[in-house]
Parts: sequence; C-alpha cells; structure tokens
Amino acid sequence: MGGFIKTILILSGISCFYFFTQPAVAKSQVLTDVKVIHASTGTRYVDQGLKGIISELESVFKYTSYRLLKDQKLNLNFNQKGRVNLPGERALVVIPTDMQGKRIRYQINIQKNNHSIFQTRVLLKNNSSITIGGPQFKDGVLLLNISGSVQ
Amino acid sequence: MNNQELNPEIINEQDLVERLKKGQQWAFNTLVNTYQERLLKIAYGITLNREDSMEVVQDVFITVFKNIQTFRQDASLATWLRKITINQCLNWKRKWKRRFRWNHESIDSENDKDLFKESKKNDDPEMLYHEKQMEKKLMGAIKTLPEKIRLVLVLNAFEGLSYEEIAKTLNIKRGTVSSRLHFARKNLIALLELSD
Amino acid sequence: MKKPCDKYTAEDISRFIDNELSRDQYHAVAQHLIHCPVCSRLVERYRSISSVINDHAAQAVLRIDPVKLKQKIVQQNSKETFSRNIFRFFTKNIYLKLASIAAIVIFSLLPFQGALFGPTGPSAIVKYVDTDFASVMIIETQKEQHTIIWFSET
Repeated sequence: MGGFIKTILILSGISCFYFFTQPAVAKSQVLTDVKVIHASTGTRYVDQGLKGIISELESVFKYTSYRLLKDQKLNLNFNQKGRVNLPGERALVVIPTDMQGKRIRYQINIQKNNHSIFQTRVLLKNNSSITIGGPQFKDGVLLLNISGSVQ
Repeated sequence: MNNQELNPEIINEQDLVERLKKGQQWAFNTLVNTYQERLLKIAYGITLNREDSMEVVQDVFITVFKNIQTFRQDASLATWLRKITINQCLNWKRKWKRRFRWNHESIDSENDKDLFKESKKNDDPEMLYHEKQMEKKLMGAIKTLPEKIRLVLVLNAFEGLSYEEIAKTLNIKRGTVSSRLHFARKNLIALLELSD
Repeated sequence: MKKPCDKYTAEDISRFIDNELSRDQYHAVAQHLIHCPVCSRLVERYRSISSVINDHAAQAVLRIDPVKLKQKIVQQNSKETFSRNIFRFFTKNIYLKLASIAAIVIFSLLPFQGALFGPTGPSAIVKYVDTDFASVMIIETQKEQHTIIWFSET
C-alpha cells in the first residue's frame, strides 16, 4: 500500500513538474525549415526530400519536375531575421514575430537585388507549412516551402 | 598568444605532457594557448565557420585533457592534436545532424563584412580594396572545393606539411596529395579568373 | 587550365613551390623561372593563395579562454556524475522503475497533444500581402488544406 502511494505521488509530481515548466521551456525558439524547389515541366522527377508535400503541390500545379535546390534549417528567436539566399540575386527573409494561439506569426519577404518584391504576413499552424511561388527560374519557377515548429 | 602566460621552461613538449598527466591547470592553460591558433585555423579551413571551428577545437582540448593518460608520445603532441582536430571536423557535420542542432544561418553579406572589415595599416586605399576583393573571392572559391581537396590545401598552407606528412596524416598516397593540391590551385585560379 | 608553358606543367610548378621536386629538378625549374614570365606568374599566384588564406584564417578565428574551457570541463564532469546518480536512484527501487516507465509514456504522448487538439483550418492564414505583381492568388489544397500563395512575375 505504501509503495503504491509512493508511485502515485511520484507520477503526479513528475507530471505536474512537466506541465508547469513546459511553457517556460517552449516557444523560445522557432525551428524554421525552408525548402527551395525548382518546379518545371521537364522530365518527370520528384526529389526525395519533397515526399511530404509533393501530393499537395501536384494537386495544384501542372509542373512535372520538382527539384529540391536547397533545404535550409534556421533556429530563430522571435523577431530574429533568418535569410535564405535564392538563385537570381534573390533572397528570402523570414521573421517569426510571435504566437497567436497555436499558430506562429511569420513575416515573409522576397527580395531581388536587396529590394522587396513580395511581402506577406501569415499565421502558420505549428508543425505545418506554407508554399509561396513563384519567381521565375531557368525553365520554370521557384517554390518556397516554409515550415515552422515551436516546441 | 600571451607570452606572459607561458613559462619558457614548459614549452618542452615532454614536460608539458607530464604536467598535463598530473592535471595541472597551468599546463592546461599552456596547452590551449600554445596550440589553439594552429588548430583553430585548421578547423576553420575545413568547416569554414568561425563558431563551428571554435566548438571543434574546444572539443579537441577537452578530449586531449580527458585522454592524456593514454598518450604514448610515439608521435608528437602537435601531430596528435592535428589528427584529432581533423577527425572532429570531418565528424562535425554528421554529429550536427544527429544532435538536431539547427544553427541560425548568419546573414552572409553581414558575416562577410565582419571578416573583411579589419584592415591592416596600408597607405594605399585602392591597393587595400583590391587585396580585400581578392581575399573575398578566394574564400568564396575555397568554399566550392570538395572537402577532401580543401583538407590537403589547409594542411599545406597552414601547417606547411610536406606531401609525405600530409599523406601520413590523412592515410592517402603521396601522389594523391600532389594531385589534390594541384587540383585545388588550378581550380582556385580558374574561379578567380572567372569572377574577374 | 592550359599548360603554362611548353616545358613545365602546372603540377610541376605546384610541386616546385612545395619543395617536392628532386634537387636537380628544383634547380632546373628555378633557372627556367628567370626566363619564363608565365611560369613565374603562376608561382606568384600559387604562393599568394597560401598567404591570403593563411592571413584570412588567422583573422577569422575566435579565441578560446583556457580558464573558461576548464570550467566547462568541470561542469560537464559534474553533469555526468549527476546523470549517473539519477540513473542509479531510479533503477534501485521497483516502484521508482514503474513510475519512470509511466512518466516516459506520458512524456511521449504529450508532443502529440498538439496534433490531437491543435488548430483546424488551413496550414497558414494569410493576413497581409504586398507586392508589385499584378496577379496574386491564395490557394488551399483540398486534402490537407495546405496554403499556397501564388504570384506571377510576368
């Protein structure tokens, strides 16, 4: 009996500890993953790294070839700028600004020659992604898949 | 290196190793101060990242400190340190992925500005600008070299090792060292000419 | 890259500057350089590569403080000792073992609470768009409600 009570007390103690400390540990860093994809109508090809999103892209676009040019992982604090260089003198700038409920608010900018050509603010579901496209590149376009995760 | 921290009597390698084995803090300071710049340059040449190279070399010193008792002195301390540094650098990328350490990517142009803004005393600003441009282009070109080629170049340029010594350090043939160095130089010149 | 001159290859020059030729070969090349501006230039360029990257690396690297590093080692050691003691503490008592297993099960389920009780709706809600491009579309895929913002540069 005494052993059983001990177990229950320990279990409750650990659970309470976890629940009360979790908010302090979480949300300090936003893991942002940027995939730079070259989509074109060339020979059928899908990069292995795009397995998770290809069906969604193919349900919308008529492109037949999807090449993963870059997969950049950024570990950002809130209001910290992350920058991904893109082909064609372009760059993608992402800034997670804060949380709204379980969504991460991002400011996303696409620049060409250091001038902003596209700007958006989105509320991204935690552990989800958004795709933005498409600046022209070679015989197709660039698709930028941005995912965010706050632990 | 701060010469005041170095006791001239202790530069003798055998003595240093014995004091390290005894766990003397003073010997550890000497070890770090004596070798850090060399190892940091090697690590930087391989990883091409200041923060990573510092972490690697810190790990090297920690490894040496913890394993100094097993050091048999059949090779020199410098050789041992160099080999550990190279192995740590080569394992660094694999470790990085395993730890899920997602590094914040520095904004390239700002990072470059930091590294290239330090100017030596030079009366000719045009000459200085030209030198800095050359340095920038060269470092950009070096990033494009395959790691195994860059490794040979780093050991040659930073450590002044002979082909034989490089071959022993990396477990490759002397002829391979020669061809890799030749490849590195040839490609760097070609890339520099392309960007002119 | 073309052969610098008819007599020597670029690899010969590379080995020359590294002192990896035989004594006779070395002297022959050294003599040759006096009269061959192409090979001389190559020697100069190869040497400058080493010197430039050396200088750059020397300036680029950060500095390690041995005292702080030693403190880090001490901290690491005490963390290792602490983890070992915790491990021993939990494996000693059967009830503690069971409690640990239960705790692990709870911890492993907790990350999924987000998926179970997270927000529904599209993967991203677009609050604001600003661009010079004429056509911008916001699309949501049918299956996963994945949000796509599409613009055309033309």
